[in-house]
Amino acid sequence: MNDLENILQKIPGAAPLVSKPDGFWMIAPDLNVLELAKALKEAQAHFSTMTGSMASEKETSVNYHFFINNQAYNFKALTRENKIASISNIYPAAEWIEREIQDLYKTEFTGHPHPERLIRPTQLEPGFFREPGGAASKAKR
Amino acid sequence: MSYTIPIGPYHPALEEPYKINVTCEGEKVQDVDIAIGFNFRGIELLAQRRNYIQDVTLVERVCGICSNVHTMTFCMAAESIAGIKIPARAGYIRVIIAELERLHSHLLWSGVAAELIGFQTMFMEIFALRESVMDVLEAISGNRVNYAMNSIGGVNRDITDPDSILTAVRGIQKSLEKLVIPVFTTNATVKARTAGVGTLTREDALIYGTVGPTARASGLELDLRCDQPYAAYGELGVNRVVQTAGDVQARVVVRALEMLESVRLIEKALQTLPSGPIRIEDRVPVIPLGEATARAEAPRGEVFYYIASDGSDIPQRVKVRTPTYANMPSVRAMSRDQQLADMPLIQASIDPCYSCTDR
Repeated sequence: MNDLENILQKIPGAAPLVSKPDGFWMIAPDLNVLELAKALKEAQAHFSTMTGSMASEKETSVNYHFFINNQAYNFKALTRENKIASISNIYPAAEWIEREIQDLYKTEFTGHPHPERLIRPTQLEPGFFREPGGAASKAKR
Repeated sequence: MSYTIPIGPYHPALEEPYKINVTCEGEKVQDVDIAIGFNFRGIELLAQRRNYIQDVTLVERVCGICSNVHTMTFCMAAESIAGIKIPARAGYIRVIIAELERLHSHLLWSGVAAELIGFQTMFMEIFALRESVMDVLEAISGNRVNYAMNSIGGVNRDITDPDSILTAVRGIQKSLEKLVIPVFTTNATVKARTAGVGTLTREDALIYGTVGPTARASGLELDLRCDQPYAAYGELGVNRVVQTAGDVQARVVVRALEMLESVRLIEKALQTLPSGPIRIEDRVPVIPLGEATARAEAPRGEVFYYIASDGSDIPQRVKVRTPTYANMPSVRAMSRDQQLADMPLIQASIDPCYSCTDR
């Protein structure tokens, strides 16, 4: 285990890193994402983007995609009451994507400096992406 | 006393909607506020209602310029979940199309830049040259814009006459060396309009998470073709182009030199094109339960795809992050203390694509 992995394992809510063909993955629903962002910033990680997806009727899964020394690191956290801490104050590059996930999944990023609408058409309510994909989407239609 | 000028959402220079509110003190820009979302199409939501075959066609419509890189990256993510290794020949063909796409995209941007700095004859010369690239793409794929080349497991069309493509590409190289590169790297008019304008420091480029030529013009050595080689880039080898000045001129030079590198890569790929199949035998592969990300170096920078699969023929989630989405916020840092009259050139210098950004 290298230094970075040691640091990441000490973050509250962390889970073991799993190596996959597209990089490392950590599936950690209770991950403290603020501490994660601080640790990654310290390690000079490059922020790539985030992915929101519907985890259940009320909760959203939030993936954080970074890369460090040409190695991709992906962290999968889960909202609580559809809220999760904003990392925009640590990684300004996350500001737009957090606003986008707020538009699409009605997720609240607590502490976001400018939580305004970004991409949602004004005639739609926030959370209009909250519908199942995959086989369930076929069943729904 | 400061005042605010709204530019957009319908901008006269770029045929796509976005808006910037520019706060000025006299002629000096103090700050800009950027608004996107005027062309939101809900492509990600549509993708989780369609099957993988339909989605390849759908994501090709994310962008009208770099359409190929979207299908390629989508296929790479699906192939990663399914553990599919594409045939060697398919990897080479993916590189050839991707580099032709980079050539025509950089030429398109160079033409727009020439027009923005008032160099009309150069604009016309460049657009005529771009037509030659479009002709090559049409000769290979049958299409000028959406090439429909990629499929999960390989490519849809073979390159049956590499020699004629090679001849055409060498003609394009001659025009680049004779006209485009000298003008963009040495011409006094171009230098006067671009040097020292819209500087993005290396630190700001890092903070804003910039990618592609915008990042490389600010000294960041980011190029996925070298850093995480995919398709046949590992075998072909890529020389990354990096400048350190961070201004509009540096962005111009990076793109100009990258065009020559693209030509070199196309030539080398055509000369060493391996024989064999162009796709796996299973034409409709099953994508099992799983999730994966994929990244590719589009003309404007890193394109990112994430696919989650529940094992059915429809993805559970498809996420697309385009390079302009990463680069656009950095215009704020480029604009501070710049002349208001330079704003069209500065925001165009990242080669923005708003329809991609909005998806």
